Amino acid sequence: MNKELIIIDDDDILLVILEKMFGKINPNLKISTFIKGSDALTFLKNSEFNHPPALLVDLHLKDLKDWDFLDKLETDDRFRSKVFIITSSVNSENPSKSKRYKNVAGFFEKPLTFDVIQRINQLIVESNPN
Amino acid sequence: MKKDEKPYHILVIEDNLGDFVILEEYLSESILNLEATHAENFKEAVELLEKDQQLYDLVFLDLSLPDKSGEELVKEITKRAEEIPVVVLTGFADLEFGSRSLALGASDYLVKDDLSPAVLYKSLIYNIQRVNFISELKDSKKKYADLFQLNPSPILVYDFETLKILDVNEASVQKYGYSREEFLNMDLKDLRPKEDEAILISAVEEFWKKNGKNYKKISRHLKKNGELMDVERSPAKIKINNKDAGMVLINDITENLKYIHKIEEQNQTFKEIAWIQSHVVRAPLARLMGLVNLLEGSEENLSEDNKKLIEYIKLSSEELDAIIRDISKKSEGIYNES
Repeated sequence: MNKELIIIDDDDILLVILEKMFGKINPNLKISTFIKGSDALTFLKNSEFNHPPALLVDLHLKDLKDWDFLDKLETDDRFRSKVFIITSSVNSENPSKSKRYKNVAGFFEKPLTFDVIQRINQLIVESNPN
Repeated sequence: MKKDEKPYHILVIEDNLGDFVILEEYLSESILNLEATHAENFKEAVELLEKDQQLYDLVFLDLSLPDKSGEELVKEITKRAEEIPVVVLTGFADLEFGSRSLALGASDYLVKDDLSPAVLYKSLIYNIQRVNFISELKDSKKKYADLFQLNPSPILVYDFETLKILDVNEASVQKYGYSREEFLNMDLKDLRPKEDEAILISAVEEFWKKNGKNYKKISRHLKKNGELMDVERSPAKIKINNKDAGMVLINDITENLKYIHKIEEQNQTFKEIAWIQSHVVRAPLARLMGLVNLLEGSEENLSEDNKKLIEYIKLSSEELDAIIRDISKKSEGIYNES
């Protein structure tokens, strides 16, 4: 079955870039994009998935600042999605903080290169249900 | 017994020459360099004292002179002797008056019939020393008063119970603009804005409850012209007439605080700039770099020229990225320090 990826970033141009890049690496990946974190959470809540989709989340969403999105995600047991965090900030404390969240499978600084996209894709493809 | 070698100059006011001679002889037994000037009556004594009162170390005064005697004599002589000790010589009949003469300003009294070399010498030394001690005490009292009066920081002394101001120094008058008399009709509450009265009451209570060493507090004080100033108070407990009093050293830190606030404001702005640098500025740059990545990976055949142009855009954005990272790193240091 095709794996799913949800990209959440309030920069709509970046969403286009990432969607295109992932599409190039893995045309079979099913991609949805969201500008608002809250919309993504609602989508996750109201959808049925055979396999929890991977999430690629910008750390500085306008509506769910900093770690709010992850905090909300953690509180709900149904969300066992792999989370990849992306950020345009170069604040060095961020990566270590992300380790506190068990869902987080990676922390990447923007811009994402094709190498990074390839690595993320690999992790998504290899992940087992549950 | 070894004689005292220090020079002494005494004035003996005594109408009886025999008594003067005995006195001089007795003292000479103990003192090597004794100079005794003889005044036979009040008039002569006054002349001598007025001429050069500093000359004498001590005055012996007989209580009955032909031209003046008793209370008035003691008063007049001690007044003119100023700092010099006056030892009254009295007959046995006047014993009671001898002790009264002390209240009139005499330093000591001796009963003529009991005079001996030892008693005279002891009285001379004792009374000269005593005057020295008193003047030293006066000096040190003045020194302490100066420490208070001339202290460059305002110092307020207040009654613990009523909070009434008991004393202020010159610097307080300068700083607050109230005269000393105005101060003495005020209490600590008058120095605070009305809304700070409760703060004052609890601050005073807290200070007196705790044995407040190194107690320092910042509060707002009002000047006479209505101007508010931020002051740091360093209070101490003292006793005035056996009553608890507080002595507060005032340090006007209005300017310092203004300065600190200004720096804090600037620091806040600086932090905001650092944040913008780290998060906001870099976002469009990351996007730009992403676009370049995408173009590079594009399958469409680009002309060599365009490939070169993309390469240039990439180099430029990487350069900009390095600068932003550098600034972020520097500002991070400041983040962590504050």
